[in-house]
Amino acid sequence: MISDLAFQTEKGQTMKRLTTILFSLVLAASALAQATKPDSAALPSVDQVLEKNIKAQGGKDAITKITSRHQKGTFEFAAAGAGGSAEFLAKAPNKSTFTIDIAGYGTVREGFNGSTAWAQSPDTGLRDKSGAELADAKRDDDFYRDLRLKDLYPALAVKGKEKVGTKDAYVLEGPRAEGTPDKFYFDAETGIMIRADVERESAQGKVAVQMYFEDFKEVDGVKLPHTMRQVTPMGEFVIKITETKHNVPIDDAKFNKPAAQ
Amino acid sequence: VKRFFHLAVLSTLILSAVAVASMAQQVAGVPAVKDAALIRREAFQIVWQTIKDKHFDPTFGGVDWDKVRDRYAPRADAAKTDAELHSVLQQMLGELKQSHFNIIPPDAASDVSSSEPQNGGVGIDLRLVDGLAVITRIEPGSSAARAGLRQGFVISQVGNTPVKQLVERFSKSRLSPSMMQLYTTRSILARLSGIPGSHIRVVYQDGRDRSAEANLQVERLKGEMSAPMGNFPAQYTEFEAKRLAGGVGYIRFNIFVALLRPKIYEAISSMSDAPGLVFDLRGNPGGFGAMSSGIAGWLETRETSLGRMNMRSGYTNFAVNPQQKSYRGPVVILIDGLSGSTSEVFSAGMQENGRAVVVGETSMGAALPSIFQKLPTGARFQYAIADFRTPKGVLIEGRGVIPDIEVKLTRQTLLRGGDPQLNEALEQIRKRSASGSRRAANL
Repeated sequence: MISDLAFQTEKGQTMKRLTTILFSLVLAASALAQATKPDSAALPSVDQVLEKNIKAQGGKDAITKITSRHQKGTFEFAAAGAGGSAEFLAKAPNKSTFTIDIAGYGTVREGFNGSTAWAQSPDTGLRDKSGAELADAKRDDDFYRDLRLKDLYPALAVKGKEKVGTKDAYVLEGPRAEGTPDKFYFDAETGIMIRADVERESAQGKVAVQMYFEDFKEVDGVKLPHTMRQVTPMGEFVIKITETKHNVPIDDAKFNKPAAQ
Repeated sequence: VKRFFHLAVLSTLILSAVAVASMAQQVAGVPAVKDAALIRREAFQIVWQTIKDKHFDPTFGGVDWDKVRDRYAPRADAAKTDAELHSVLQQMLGELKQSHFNIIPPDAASDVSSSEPQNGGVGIDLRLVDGLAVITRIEPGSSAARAGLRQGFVISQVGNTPVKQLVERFSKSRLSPSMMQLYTTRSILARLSGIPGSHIRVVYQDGRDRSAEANLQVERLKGEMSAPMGNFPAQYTEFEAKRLAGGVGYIRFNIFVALLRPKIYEAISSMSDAPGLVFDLRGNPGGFGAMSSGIAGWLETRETSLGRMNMRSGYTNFAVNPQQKSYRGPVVILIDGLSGSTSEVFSAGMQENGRAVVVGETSMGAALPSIFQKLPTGARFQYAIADFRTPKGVLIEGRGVIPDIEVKLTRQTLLRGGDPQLNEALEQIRKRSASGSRRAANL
């Protein structure tokens, strides 16, 4: 009983301290907000942010010289010790597939051939994407997505400046008819996109993911992220690219939905 | 430049794959010993902090998790061996009074990729019936069968350990009745396994309650070992598919792992002409959660869900994607008190969707999707990341799946031979096939 009382007393004091701290924080935040109230004049325009991003990647000419991409790498879900290989094929203007082979589980595949989006896993089997999933696939699988970001998100707007890790980043928000707007974060110094917060539909329901693009390396005149981290409330999923080939011939049939078994 | 935006759903796909709703079987062995106090302290911190940060219920079901640390940290510091620490950690996790929070010692989980089981058995399966360890199944041709043991006989001693002692030990614990049954049964079954070639002495009561004993040779198990998936250890697998009287299909498997997936699909596919299918999940403790959706896809004709796992933030549906050649006839699922986790997701969802009749006894009530993390001591730390609710929102953890038709095993029915639960399953299929035929005739 004594220890309970002691705890309650201590808890009460802690609560008071917390309340004080929170109140102080609210005041401080309010003061800070006043001091750093986004100055629209200080923020770049959407066009300026997008142009700097393209320039940082190597420029429009370098990007459009590439019409197909074949990448290989690894996938890791460290929290469960799970991992495997990853392979990604893409072709202009909007075809793509990715395949992840998870050791001890099986192969997960997704694809889009320009009109049909599909997904296949050992447990959900093969299925077509429709509705919001299909709309997102059309947008997400655009080969020159960054070049066409303004077309893909007509209401794209600059929302402010935030920290991504230690870096300052300009935040652009792209409303989608399908739900929550996508948010893109561009390194204020280099201009390159370093993070995206997206919510996507899946057979299992909506999923909100923070995607971080890191370890940029130049391949054929274009800077590409070689590490992609997906942060979810359950853990972190990491894809590391180990090999990239550009302008390799890829048969269009590879993007078609596989035959049902 | 492509940025893998379409991989945003990857986490969901992968999570549903690795969200292993399982009470993995443990293999007996000798605990490894490390003596690094620092490593043990680190392991303690990882376990406590992971629960603090990732438990799907930020209130921990009313448990003051900070106070739990205060109580257990000194005990963890005082641990002289890794085994002692693992015991302290398991007790700490026990404060949550939920399934799927376990410490699995390094030697108790196999990383070996060999498909051949290292352990052997004597061919006995049993359940606690009225506090007695009653044999429910004897593997034909096994050493137990050759020694004359039969279903309905009661095992009263294994080696030097009286079964009564094990029952009493677990009954004194703070475990729920279903968990007590699980741990007691597992404990007895673990003593009935060992290295192939060794012998195990059992004392038993026969059908006339006469006491007898047998020295049973441990024989290599006939099943295969699955491959580990990440930190989810390799598992011993058994699979059986056959036709019963009247052509009814019967599919039994002991765990949901990828190795068995093609066998299950193939069995369902090959039984498309059967008047009904029986899935025997009695004793099946779970496995890969997503497999429940996959199997349901071979039994459904419409897109549906078996339920939802709710995490601290967000949720994931056990979505069912119907396959083109899915089975259309009546389905019965057999469960009992040792059917857990993925077995419960599958049976609860199929039952609530009206796609299957569930027969047998109330399941374990241990359905929390979980993942496995390796600790610096080499042990695996299993923790739940979500709860599971049926499409109508029924929480299965702590409740179990309640059969549509309850058939309790008794020693007398077992001694009479046969399988009363399976018999009821066949009766249900007969009724539904008949009504289905009548409906078809009226069209």
